[in-house]
Amino acid sequence: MIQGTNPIYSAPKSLGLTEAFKKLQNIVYVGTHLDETAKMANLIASEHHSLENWGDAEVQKGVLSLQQPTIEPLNKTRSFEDSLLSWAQLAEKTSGGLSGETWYSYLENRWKNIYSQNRGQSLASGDFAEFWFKIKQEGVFNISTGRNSDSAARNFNLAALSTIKKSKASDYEFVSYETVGLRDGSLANVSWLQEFSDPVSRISWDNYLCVSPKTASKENLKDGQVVVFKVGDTEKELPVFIQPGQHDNVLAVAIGYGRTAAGKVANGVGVAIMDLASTDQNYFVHSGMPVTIKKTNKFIPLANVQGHNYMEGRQIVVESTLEQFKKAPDKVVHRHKIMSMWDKIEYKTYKWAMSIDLNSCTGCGTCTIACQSENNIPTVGKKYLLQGREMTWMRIDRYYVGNPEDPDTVYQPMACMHCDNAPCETVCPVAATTHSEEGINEMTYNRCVGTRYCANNCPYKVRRFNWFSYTNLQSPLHMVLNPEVTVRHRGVMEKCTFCVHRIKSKKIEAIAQAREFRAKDVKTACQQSCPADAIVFGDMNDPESEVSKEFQDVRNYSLLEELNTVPALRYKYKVRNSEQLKGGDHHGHDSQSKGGEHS
Amino acid sequence: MIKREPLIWGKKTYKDITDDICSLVENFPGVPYFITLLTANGVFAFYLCVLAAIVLTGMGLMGVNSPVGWGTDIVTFVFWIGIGHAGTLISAILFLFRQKWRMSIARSAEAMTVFAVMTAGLFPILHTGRPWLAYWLLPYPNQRGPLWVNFRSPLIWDVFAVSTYATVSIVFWYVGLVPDLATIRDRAKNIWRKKIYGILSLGWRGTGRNWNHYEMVYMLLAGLSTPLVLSVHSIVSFDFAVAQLPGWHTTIFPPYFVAGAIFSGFGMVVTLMVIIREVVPLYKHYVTLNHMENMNKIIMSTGMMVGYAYGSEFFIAWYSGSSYEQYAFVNRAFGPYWWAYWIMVSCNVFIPQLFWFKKVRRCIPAMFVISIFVNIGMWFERYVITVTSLHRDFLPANWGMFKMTFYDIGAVVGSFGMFFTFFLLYIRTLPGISMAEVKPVLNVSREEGDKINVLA
Repeated sequence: MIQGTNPIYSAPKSLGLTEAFKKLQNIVYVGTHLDETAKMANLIASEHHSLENWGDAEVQKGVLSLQQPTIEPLNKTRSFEDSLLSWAQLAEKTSGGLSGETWYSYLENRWKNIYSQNRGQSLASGDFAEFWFKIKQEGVFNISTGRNSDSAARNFNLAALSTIKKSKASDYEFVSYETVGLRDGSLANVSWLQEFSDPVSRISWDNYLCVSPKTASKENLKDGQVVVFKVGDTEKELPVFIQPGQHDNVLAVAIGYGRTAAGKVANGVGVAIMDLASTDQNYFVHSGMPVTIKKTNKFIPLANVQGHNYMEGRQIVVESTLEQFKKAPDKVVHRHKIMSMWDKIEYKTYKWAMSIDLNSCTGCGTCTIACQSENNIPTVGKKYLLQGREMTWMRIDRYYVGNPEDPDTVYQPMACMHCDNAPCETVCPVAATTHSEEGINEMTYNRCVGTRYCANNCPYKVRRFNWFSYTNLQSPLHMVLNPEVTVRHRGVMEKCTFCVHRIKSKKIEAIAQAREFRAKDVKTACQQSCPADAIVFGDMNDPESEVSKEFQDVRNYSLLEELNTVPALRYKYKVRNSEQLKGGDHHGHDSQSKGGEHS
Repeated sequence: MIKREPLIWGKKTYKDITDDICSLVENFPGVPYFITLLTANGVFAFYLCVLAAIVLTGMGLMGVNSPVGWGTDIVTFVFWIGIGHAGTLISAILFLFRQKWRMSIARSAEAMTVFAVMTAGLFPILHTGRPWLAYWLLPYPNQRGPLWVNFRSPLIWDVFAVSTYATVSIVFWYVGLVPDLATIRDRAKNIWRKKIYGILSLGWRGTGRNWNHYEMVYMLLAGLSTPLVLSVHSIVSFDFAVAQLPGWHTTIFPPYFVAGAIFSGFGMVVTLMVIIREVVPLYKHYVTLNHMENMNKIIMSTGMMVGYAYGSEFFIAWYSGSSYEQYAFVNRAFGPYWWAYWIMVSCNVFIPQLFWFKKVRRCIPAMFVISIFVNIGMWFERYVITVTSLHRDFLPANWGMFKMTFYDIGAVVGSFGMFFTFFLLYIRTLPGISMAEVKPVLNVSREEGDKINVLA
């Protein structure tokens, strides 16, 4: 019986699992998808998705959590636990205490025990019914005695790391890695994750053989050139990607691709890598094997949304050394003298603004997915990404700083700047993009005729155009859509709205509760999801608001300030704890940053 | 006493002129004409299919993307609008300056203007994401609020400029046609022909009063059209110049665009006239080598103005001290689209320099080839301006490339099908040379003209 794992896809080929499976008489597969392993099974018990199921967990010692279903099961499925219970009951008709139990009642009983052991503590102050109600509301029952390093529920096996041997048989060492988006590939059929552009390479919809620039020139390899590489006895073909900053002797490939039975989206995307692992003293070794490569003359274009890798001496992502920051924090950003032909806009009610701290941002891209799910942003696929048809409202620009052999990497989350003097607003012939009284640059979809002039005139290039109709999602995929946000028609422009629907719903909530609206209640989707709390959003009219304080900060600057767009999204420059910046002084025009890649 | 070169060659009487010019309208066309017409029709039909596919499926079929939001459609729109300019210049400005050599080419140049503007007019509508709502660009009282257009947007100015231009051009052209239409009516032997041309000639009787009014209206319309020669392409250039994009945001654009438009327009007139002269040898008496030479002189001089603008852009980019601007121009000439830039410079600046030589100016095959190069060069000028500025702007992370697809090429090629369909229909249904205007410039002494017989 197999549940919750997909060994036919993920286990090393040398294990011979496929052959072994064929010899088995009965394989029962419990899972949510008809994946590679399920296809080998003769009995499949389709189970609930975790969002449809009950469960519990102990995240840390003493931190108990209850998992509740958030949706009625979409299909006729049964939870794995219910399956186990009913099979057990069938097996031993005599009922060993399990008769008549469902997974829910079993779980409730278990929490009755927890309740009786911890009666009186925090949530367990009243009777069980009250406790059960409260735990369902809160989700967490904390009876830990304080946090310490070894209080994890399970131990990490450090010994596993020490057994990796360094290879000497070849010039190159093979490394396989998980990408931030796809991880092990179990969720590869989610198109959001496939289209998620890798924080470093910024490529989506493929895995590729990463080589360092030096190795690429030594082996005479070009971006996208297909190579055959051999690990152990297995040969595989992948396009090359030249990755600045990579070790010269390492060839790296992401795992999680090359699914054959994940579904419409993931099947055939990239090449499976996990089966290359060798088995060594009961461990799977995924990295460190010797690898040899052979060039071919084929090319596979890689969908890279980063147009150019270097800032070309422009003031885009500003960095400072710690020393420089301590000495003269106000001298780091080159501030421009600005003469304006525009009147200053007065905002009588609220003035929404956002500040992003480049010091905190790690470029993980969680905000981009949060935005995608919040705002019904479609994915377009590799073919259209290659044509420059990405739809993301929030994206993270990545630049290299300094020598391509060993560059620093900087990130800049980019969304609509909601400029006070918005270049897009003046050029729209039908006034479909206008300034709201609260400082938000609003896009009126049903007024837009799609001249795309606004996008041309946007210096930040954050506007996205519906090149095709992306609205006809088949059931049940339509359930992925957020009902609060309009689905956009073919031929109209769209872009970040500062989550204006969230502002509206908080205002409605305030009216319903007959109280004053609090600007600080509003959190944008990107802000909410940012694990580093790099994004601050709020009302600029309130001098006490967090964002007002951020804007007063010495590190705060506007991107392309010299254009006098007066953006409402501003950045706080990055301070590096190093003696020198790899790119040199910022407003000096660094000569090193010329050798970037052009798409 | 130095005699002027006669404007009309061959031993022509007033009757000859009428017969010559009406012959095209009155005789049933031969097989070669129909083959040409059907070819043009075929390309036109193909064009309609391409446009239908784009409207039904989406703009994504074309090469436009992010960051290059404008592509082939806008490039070809500006190209065709520019083509139209020679017609207005010939019919209006040269008329006001009493340039008599304009008489025999004015009609066809004006027709070219009208058809070029019609061809051009489709593009801005079709490049929108929702062309079925393109009428929202017109300011009219409506039940949506009423919701008005954004008068600050250069695209709105463009709507006014192009629609005014189209209206005035058509009226001007039509008013000029009236006496000639009456001639055809009077010569008609077929009742239907008499009726149709009779209605079109608006009851023209050829009285002194008729002529008096006609000439007054014609001059007023010429006066009205004259500013349009300058204004239309100035406003088209505002689409670019008013934006803040490096490579677009330049004050030189209005004069530069006007010069380029006249340049390309005369290129097209020369192309068409060479073809007409070959297909209808009779026209060689009316559109003489002197006419062609005059136009070639204009091509060369406007070509140099355009060349000056190219140079000036680089100087200003350097002089401005704006690094974005500097990068945009270096990227234009030496970036990934260097080939487009150098096609443009070669075709527009270098090749027309051949017209310094009188022999080249008067050599029909040479001027035909050069005029085609001018047309190619001017299409690429708009391509360079639109695409190379957009593809690399302020933030390097957004840089991208523009690749034309089948649909882009279909739209460009197909638009020629539309233009030539109209032009071919015109040449056999309306008098291609203005009889009423040519007759007054017939040499009175007629000695010089008698000696030259181009057909011999």
